Amino acid sequence: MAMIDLQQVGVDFPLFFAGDRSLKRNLVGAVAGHTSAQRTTVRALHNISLSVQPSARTALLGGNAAGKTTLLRVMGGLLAPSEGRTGIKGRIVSLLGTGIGVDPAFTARQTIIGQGLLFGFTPMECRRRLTYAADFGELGDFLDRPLATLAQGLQVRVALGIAVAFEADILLIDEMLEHLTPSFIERVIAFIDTGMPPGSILVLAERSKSLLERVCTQALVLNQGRLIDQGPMATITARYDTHLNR
Amino acid sequence: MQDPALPGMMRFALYAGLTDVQSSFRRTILGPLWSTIGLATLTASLGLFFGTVLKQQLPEYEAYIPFLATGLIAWTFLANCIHQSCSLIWQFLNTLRHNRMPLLVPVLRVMVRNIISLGVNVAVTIIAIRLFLEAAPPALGPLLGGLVLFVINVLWMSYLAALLCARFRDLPQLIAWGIHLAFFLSPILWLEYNLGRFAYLVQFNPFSWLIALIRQPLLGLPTSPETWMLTTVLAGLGILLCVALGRYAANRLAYWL
Repeated sequence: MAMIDLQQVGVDFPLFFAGDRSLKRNLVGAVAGHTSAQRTTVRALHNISLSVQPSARTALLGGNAAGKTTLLRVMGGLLAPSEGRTGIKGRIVSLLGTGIGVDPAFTARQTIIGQGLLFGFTPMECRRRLTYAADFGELGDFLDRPLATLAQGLQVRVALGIAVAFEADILLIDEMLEHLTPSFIERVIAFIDTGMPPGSILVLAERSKSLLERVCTQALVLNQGRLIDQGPMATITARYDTHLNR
Repeated sequence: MQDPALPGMMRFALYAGLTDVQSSFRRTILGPLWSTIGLATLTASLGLFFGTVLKQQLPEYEAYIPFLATGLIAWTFLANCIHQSCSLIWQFLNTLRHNRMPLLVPVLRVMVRNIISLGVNVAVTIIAIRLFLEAAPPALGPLLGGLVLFVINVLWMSYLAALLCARFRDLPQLIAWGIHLAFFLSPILWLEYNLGRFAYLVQFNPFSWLIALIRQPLLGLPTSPETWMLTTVLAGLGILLCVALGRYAANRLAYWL
């Protein structure tokens, strides 16, 4: 059963300037007594505690630089928090901007098979499930094109095809559905409503309020890296504008 | 939060490595065999040149070519793996940022594609030695054992290089320079006894131990117990270092990208 549990999570991004990435400068700095504690950091998330329960369809709301992408990266296990604890269970598929797939030079077919192998499926099982991914994503002739040459919308369809084929328990989407055509969005909504495995979790950050209201039952509201509100979607929607415009 | 399990990572690395080799065959008949042809050309050119230069100091000119070829085979694999691992971070920056993929995965992939080239080079060398030289037949048991130990050592070196290059962006140039220097300081172009009274210094060069793992059995010569012992200890220490640094970097790597 999928689960996301964060306790007092904080994320500090160290700002690496050109000199910080140099071995030579670091060695000289160490001799001179400079420590990494003196490095400038940016606090992206403050003391976030939340629990996303199985079967939740959660909207992530917040303005620019609210910390939505960072929180999604923590939820996806891509970023270990600087402080606090995380408990995440389930097979995760993340659609978080550029970097979809396992190698930009891979074709869509190779990406789907490769991702399946990383999930722990056998090569034979990956090839069998490839058909589901291709069918869902309507990939057709695009299946043998390098991922880097595909339009963003097609790349999103490949990633969603992976979620379908390998039965993602946790699906994290960061403003990626806007690249899809309206008819394909309907297909995605139908999948979220009826096709996702029982107990699976969706966390969705999108600009389209109507899409969020249609899909999500719960909402989290972030502001400047802090979780300022959470609750049922309908309740939060009533306060949503107030929070964002404040 | 657990990273993908090792069997999954291995399967992916194998698949990706084979895909790389398959891609190198696309639109060319020879594909990765270009590496073997390049190596053969290099061996012939360097063999002719250095064989002539060192002629007065070589007991057997004919033995120099296989000595050189086997050294170059080992070195090409080692240098390619480390060089390619240094540039992984640039190649897969976005992919590593947005996917739960440990750095070990692309390193294993680099290893897989180079192991295929190494295998082809070793096979061609065995055939060439049998056909053209009256050398003793290769000792296949020690050769297989030597190859395994050699690859394990290159794996930890490559992982270490990839990890350090992720943190320090000026390191790839430094490592490239180091590999270049190590090439000339290792017994590839020259033989140990060319050093005269300083020949003992070779014993302190870990690269010479690693080269000997492949060279000795390929030439039908025994691999010394010291070589087995030193390379095993080197592999053990290297793996321990990588495990320790890997643990230290596991949570930090995402912030370095």
